[in-house]
Amino acid sequence: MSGHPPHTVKLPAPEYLKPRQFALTNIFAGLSILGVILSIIGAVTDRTQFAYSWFTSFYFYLLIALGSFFWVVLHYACDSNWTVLARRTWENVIGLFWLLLLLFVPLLLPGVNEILWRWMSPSADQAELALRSGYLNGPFFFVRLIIYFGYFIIAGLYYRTCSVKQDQDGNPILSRRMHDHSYLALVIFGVLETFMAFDWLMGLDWRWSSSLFGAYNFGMCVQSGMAAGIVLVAILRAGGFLGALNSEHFYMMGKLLFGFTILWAYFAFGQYLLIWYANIPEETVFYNNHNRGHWYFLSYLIVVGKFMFPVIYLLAQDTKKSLKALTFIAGWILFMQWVELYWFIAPFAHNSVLPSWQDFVSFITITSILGYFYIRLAATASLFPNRDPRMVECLTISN
Amino acid sequence: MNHPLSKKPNPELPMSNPLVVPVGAGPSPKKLYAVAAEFAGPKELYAAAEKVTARGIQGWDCYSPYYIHGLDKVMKQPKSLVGLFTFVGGLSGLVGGFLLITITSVYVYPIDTQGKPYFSLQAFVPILDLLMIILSAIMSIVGMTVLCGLPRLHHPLWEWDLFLRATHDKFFIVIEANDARFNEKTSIDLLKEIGGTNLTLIGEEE
Repeated sequence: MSGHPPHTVKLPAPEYLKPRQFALTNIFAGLSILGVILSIIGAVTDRTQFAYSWFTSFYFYLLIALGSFFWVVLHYACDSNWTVLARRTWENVIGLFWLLLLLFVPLLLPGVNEILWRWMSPSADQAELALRSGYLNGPFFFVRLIIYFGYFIIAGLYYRTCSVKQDQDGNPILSRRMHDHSYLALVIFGVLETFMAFDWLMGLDWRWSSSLFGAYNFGMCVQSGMAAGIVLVAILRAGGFLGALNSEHFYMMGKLLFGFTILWAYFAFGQYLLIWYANIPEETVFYNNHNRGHWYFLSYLIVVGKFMFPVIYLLAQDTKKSLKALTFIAGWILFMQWVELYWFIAPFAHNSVLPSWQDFVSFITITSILGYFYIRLAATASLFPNRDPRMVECLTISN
Repeated sequence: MNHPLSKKPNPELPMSNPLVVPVGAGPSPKKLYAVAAEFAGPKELYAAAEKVTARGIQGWDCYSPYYIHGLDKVMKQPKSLVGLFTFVGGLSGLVGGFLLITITSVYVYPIDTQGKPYFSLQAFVPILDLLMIILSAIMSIVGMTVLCGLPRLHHPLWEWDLFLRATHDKFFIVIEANDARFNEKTSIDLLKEIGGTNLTLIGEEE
């Protein structure tokens, strides 16, 4: 800040990404083709491993997309001003829900879906399944899937399109309208992410249930959404864009990352504590299975690596104010998020704690496909909403 | 001066307070505490604070009815130490809570609960968590109070009637005399130069 109060603020000019100048575009394009070929080979040779590997990486990006949706909608619900410059990075993520649906299709094919969700398989215990058939039945599963993706594709496009439209005319009524829709959107988001987690993640063991699972999933997606936003901002900054962001904005993101890391730990531990205390065999089976053999060490790694280390690291102000230090921990949290999903999903597939080659192939394939389309989508509009009514407030923000 | 905060003249007291002398109105107080000046508003105060900082003055402060964003940066205020108090409070809550619950539920008064081990860290976590939070909150408030120099019963600036409105609608810069490099005349000149009005010498009792 040069003076108080700021009478004159120079508005930054809109910045446009040129995919051809961005080396990552070609790398992603090449890797996605190679990845798809390798994935097909993997799916043919070991279909079970393919299903679990693909699902781990798919769910990882689904969490990031849901988290990004939350942060964009929260921006409008709270009328925040600090997020304006960074918001478009999240808006471009939520414009890609249609692609996530396409990436989900391989897992929904007959012969693959019953590997992941065993209640679909004819070999499941039919007598026990009959008790739960009101919810666990094929048609309803797909109806729910259409509702989830239908909502997020439409809402994601709505929020992105309105914001891009505002770049042209700067009309504040668009902000107002998105604000009016945001409260309901947050409620729908909460309900849908809860049932998405029930259907896909908790459904891996259809006999098991946890009443805190929706909150646990919320903690994961909001934490990784913020971490992904920081990493994307850092990548764009490295490419010479978003120069208007300063340490005050990073401080805000760092504080939220810190807070939601604690929130995730609160829910994850709360879920564990309730199950540990009640000690009911139907519920404890999950933690028994996920602590067998060497998986036990992975459980500890998640406690230390996804909660203790980031919290202590982010406690100091200086690490939150420097983009370099913040990017490191955001990248680390994303890595631990993948490890956590691996810890959650892989014990259903194999006993050994070591990942299969397909885990890496799936991760690289999905990353490259999403990354390629992210760059293409980001190039269609300015990299930040340059005519947002709160732009001046955002530029002169102070903590 | 019909303001509720300004004192009404008390006819039984001598009209002039020997500790508060407007500049040019008489001899300086015997023991000078500070030179104070009033400023018209937040913008003027902000601009004046920049100039005082540029002059390298030590031991001075700005007074305003509300928080002015960026003023602490202009004044080159060091980072607050409250965070340290909070951290120490949180750490002692964690360690103290751990000792409290371990000693009581493992050694002094062990109770068998559903056959779970006496030393069950899972069950201890809520206690550790809550004690850590409450002690860090208490220590933050204590630290803030101590660092503000509170509690204290009186302050020399309160002798000046006009200064009481610093909590209402007036803005002041006060240059304190306790610095070795303090010079009464240059301080008065500086405050005049940067646009201060109602320049006043404030004394303190010996």
